[in-house]
Amino acid sequence: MINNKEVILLDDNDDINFYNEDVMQETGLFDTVTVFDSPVKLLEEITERIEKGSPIAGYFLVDIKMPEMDGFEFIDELEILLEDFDDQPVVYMLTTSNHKRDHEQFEKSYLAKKYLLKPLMVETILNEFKS
Amino acid sequence: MNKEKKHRLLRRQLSRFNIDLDKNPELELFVNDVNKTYEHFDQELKINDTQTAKMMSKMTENNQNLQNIIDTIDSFNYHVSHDLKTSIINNISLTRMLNKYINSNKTEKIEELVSRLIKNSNNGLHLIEKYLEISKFESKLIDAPKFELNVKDIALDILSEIQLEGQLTVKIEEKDFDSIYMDELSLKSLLQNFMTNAYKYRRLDTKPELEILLSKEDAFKVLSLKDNGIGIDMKRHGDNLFKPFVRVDTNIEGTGVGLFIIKKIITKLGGSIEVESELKKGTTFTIKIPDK
Repeated sequence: MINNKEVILLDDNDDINFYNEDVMQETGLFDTVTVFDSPVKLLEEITERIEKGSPIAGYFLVDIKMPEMDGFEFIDELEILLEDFDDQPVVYMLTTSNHKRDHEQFEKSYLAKKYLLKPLMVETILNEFKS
Repeated sequence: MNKEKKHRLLRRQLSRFNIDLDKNPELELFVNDVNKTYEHFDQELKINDTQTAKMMSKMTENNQNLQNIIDTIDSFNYHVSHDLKTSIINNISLTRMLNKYINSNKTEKIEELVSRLIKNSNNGLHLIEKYLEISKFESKLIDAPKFELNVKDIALDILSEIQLEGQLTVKIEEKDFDSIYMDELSLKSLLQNFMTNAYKYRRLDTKPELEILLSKEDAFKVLSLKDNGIGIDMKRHGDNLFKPFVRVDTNIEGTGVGLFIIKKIITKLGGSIEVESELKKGTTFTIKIPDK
């Protein structure tokens, strides 16, 4: 089950999470903004939710460069966990750059469809979610 | 072909042009000369061909080396620009948020934002200092004079310099040699990195140890450095160990430039470095440096 009123933010940087959480709350689009600083912990949380039958967030905003595993590796793991789901969450990659390395990986990914440039802006999010 | 046969062949060929060989006997000498010259050139061309092939393979090798250097620089730049950009983006984000709350009565939020801004700006400055240190180090290496340096002496100096005497056991076995022709900064950085790594990545249930074996293999001096630390997951990190800013264990303090610098030093000396490691057992680095 997918909950479109929840967004999960994943970034290893605490300041970015602090800011992004504030931005996402300001948009008023979500009932729940959940923040994670570790992809490993987030995967554990998702596994637990699936076991319990709790809903999965409808939206993920995922940082690309993280030390434990990068954003794309995280997405690969997430895809496996959500294999049997009819509805899939929408995944946005968070990036600071237009480096070709990130784009190449982006094109290979199945779940990650769009990316958002940091720093996030309330207007960008509202525009993005209008459609 | 014997002389007689050659003579008959030449007479037949010349008769086609209405030239009688018997009336112009000097022509035979001339043709022989031309043939000899031709053979000589042919020989030379063959030599040139082999040389060209050799040069081509050398060039391909050089191109590969250059490509590797470019990849390293590219990867270095990617990390540097990413880190600096992140730091600045954090500052922009926090400032923007501060601007939003500044006229509200959320004093706690404002105070937290200001303290985050201060911390983040300091981090940014540290980052820049770190990068400058790396490039300064590299420029120092360029013209550093080389000497025959006693490995054991330098190692023991470093051990006391970094204040790990008594905490890290360093054993040195001078099997085939005791000194190496290098610049002092390179040897010191090398030994210091392996010593601090042996200590930082120690197993908490074992007294940390670094065994350094000095041996020879063909035309190389071999330094093998074996620790009894936590080891490295080679499947996961093997390919990236010597790339800049790669951290194997993010719980342990570090910048991710140590092995990158070591690899640079060794490559510059025309040597090579290899790693073997087993988790919870330890890691062995084998460095080969051409002996001259």
